[in-house]
Amino acid sequence: MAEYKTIKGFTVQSLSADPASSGLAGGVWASGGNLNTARFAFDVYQSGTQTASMATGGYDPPTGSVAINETYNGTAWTEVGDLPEGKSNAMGCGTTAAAYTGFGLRASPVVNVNTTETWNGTSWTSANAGSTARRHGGQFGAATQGIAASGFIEPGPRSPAVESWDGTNWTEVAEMNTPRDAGAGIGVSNTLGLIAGGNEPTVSAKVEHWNGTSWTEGTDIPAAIGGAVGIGPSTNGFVIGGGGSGESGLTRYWDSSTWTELADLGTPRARMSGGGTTTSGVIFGGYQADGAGMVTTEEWTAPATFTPLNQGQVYYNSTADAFKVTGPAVNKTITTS
Amino acid sequence: MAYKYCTATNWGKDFFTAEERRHFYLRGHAGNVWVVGDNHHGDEWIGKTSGVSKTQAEAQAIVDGEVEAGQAVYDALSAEQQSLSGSRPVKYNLP
Repeated sequence: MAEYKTIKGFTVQSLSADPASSGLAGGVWASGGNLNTARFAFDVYQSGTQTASMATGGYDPPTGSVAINETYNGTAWTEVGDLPEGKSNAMGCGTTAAAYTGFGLRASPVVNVNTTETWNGTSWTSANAGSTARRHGGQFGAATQGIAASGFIEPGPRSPAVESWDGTNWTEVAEMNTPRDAGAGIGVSNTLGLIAGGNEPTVSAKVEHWNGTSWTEGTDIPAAIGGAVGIGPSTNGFVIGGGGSGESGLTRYWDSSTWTELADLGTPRARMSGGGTTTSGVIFGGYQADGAGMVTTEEWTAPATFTPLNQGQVYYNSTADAFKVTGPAVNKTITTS
Repeated sequence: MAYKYCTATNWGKDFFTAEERRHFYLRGHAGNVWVVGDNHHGDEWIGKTSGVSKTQAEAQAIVDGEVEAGQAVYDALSAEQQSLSGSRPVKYNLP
């Protein structure tokens, strides 16, 4: 005897988007407004939010380090108060309301500096200098607390020096285990964060975690990368893009125990800056494969609500006009129109 | 995965949207070259951006030209400037 459901059939679920293992797994990068001036190697990181960010200083060959400062409102970039002098490759953090630049590369004469400038939302003011002049290390933090880790010194190799910013002064703290330049920092304070990858000078996958007192090696990122940018807190952050064997568009998510790869950037790039969180982030500038500075911005958005992915799930994606079944690793399309 | 190739200038906000990124592969390269997933959503995006269709060989030649130009710029820099500009651009193959 035929069963009722054999006669009746069954309804295939119709979804407007593919199911995902998490909201973050459904996140993507979309284009944002373009910077007015193409450049990379900025001076401020963890730079605000997707709708209020700041692109400070930076480097664009053959011009060199620039003093230009731009703020983003989620749609367009506007030039605001310049730095007192051209500077790039600094290790600062902050927002459109308050920020600092620490260390970096002065435009003229071209030399590493230990200088600091603070931003009050309108203008820059010279602040107390750090100890070791250097550039292009790794950084994390916020306007009144941050870490500047390692980086280039000249003459000499990469410095293991780490200095902690408290909003007024720099204090020397424990050195990194593996000196490097171009490490990506995740963290929003000077007591908790990590530096991922960088150049030792060989491109590194090493990750070191800072607990406010010492550095401890942790789980490597899945592939060696230098010149990536970090956003978010150290327990819930991204390491984005960078260069290793070619510029990367990868988004690597750190949940405090494992690295997970999420959706790629639209345009791979290295040495950009960015800010925001793993649910609403932004990156801007950088350089791509031809080495030229970029003006483009990308905005990360992860859906607040999503359809949980179940293996063997059969559904119709009404947006993609595709009939799909989920497999162990990816959604496998059976037929499409 | 099948791809189409085009050139299009990124005008900024909404050049590619989150919704579009969920529907087709999209990757930007030097020279305003875009590799686009070959489905009707990708076709619509090429139309939206007034993309100029290219063959894979044409797109590769544009990217190669940009990388070669970048190599020439890099080679003309002083050793000090080179150390500040990242590594020398390297050619690669489009998918």
